[in-house]
Amino acid sequence: MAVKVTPVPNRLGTLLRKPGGISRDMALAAAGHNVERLREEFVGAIPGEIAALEELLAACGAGNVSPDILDAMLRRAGQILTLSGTYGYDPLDTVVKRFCDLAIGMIEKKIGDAAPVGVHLRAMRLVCPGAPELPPDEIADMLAGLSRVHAHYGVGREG
Amino acid sequence: MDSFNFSEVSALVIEPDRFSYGIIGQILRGYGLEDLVLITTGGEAKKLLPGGRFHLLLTESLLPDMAMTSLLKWIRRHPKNEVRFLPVVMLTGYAQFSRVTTARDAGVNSVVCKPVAPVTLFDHIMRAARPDRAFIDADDYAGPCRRFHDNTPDPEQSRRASDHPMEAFRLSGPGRGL
Repeated sequence: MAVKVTPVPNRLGTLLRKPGGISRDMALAAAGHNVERLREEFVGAIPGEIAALEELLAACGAGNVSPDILDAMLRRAGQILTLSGTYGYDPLDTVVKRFCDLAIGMIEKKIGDAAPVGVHLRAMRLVCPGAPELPPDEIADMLAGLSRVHAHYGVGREG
Repeated sequence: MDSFNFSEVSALVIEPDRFSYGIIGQILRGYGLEDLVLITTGGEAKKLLPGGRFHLLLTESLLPDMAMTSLLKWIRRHPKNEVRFLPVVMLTGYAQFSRVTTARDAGVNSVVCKPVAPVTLFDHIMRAARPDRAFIDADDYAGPCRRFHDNTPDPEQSRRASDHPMEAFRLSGPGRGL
């Protein structure tokens, strides 16, 4: 088959250029306002999302976690990242990303030890909305501890 | 372009994450896009898209019922032009970021890293709306031309390393080689 190059009539572009729209700044301001209206409900859901991760881990038993469970936890962790990133919970965002790095590394290296997963879930609890706020040096110590866990298992950025 | 009219645009959003689903819906409504259908699976998309009603598809990269590449290939080889040429913006989470290249090779117009910020999504929709990006049909690829460049992303403008193609959208025209 020869390569065929077709100029595309972009229906979306045509509609967006129609008169009567709003400025980019107005659109972004309205969108930002709408997202803020969800803050209370969505931030309030974060502890439940961490609890769902804890339940997945608890269901494994015997100190082992399977790749399927890790994959399910990764999907769930993605939901927490949506919330932490959107609503500015930076320490939680960092810890959940560390968890994702760990889980991806464990799947790749076929590591089934549940202990490092549990450590990351406890770290999430420490920086979860509603928990007492940690001073920056304690957050730094906690992240350094997670880095040591990654290095021990040879995963994530330290892996 | 000084203004953008979303009032007649219809969008289909595939997003299994209920939080992301809610946030994207509110962002699009803020732009003035009211005709919005939110679904959670690729199977639902395959039923809805052939109607030709939608002008834009936003889809999560990790679908619960099929591989994203499978849905993209179905879209890009569809006999109806309204489906085949549909602008597709893919949303990808932190853990799935390695799928960006795969998605590009499957025929998406643009990739947005989650969490989606209003400014980032707006600029990527504008990228998908550009009129100067040809459609390529070949044995191993069908989709928007991948020899497409625009301005270097400005890291000051975004929480994520996402492109900000607004200037390119405003200045687009023949001969820019995009």
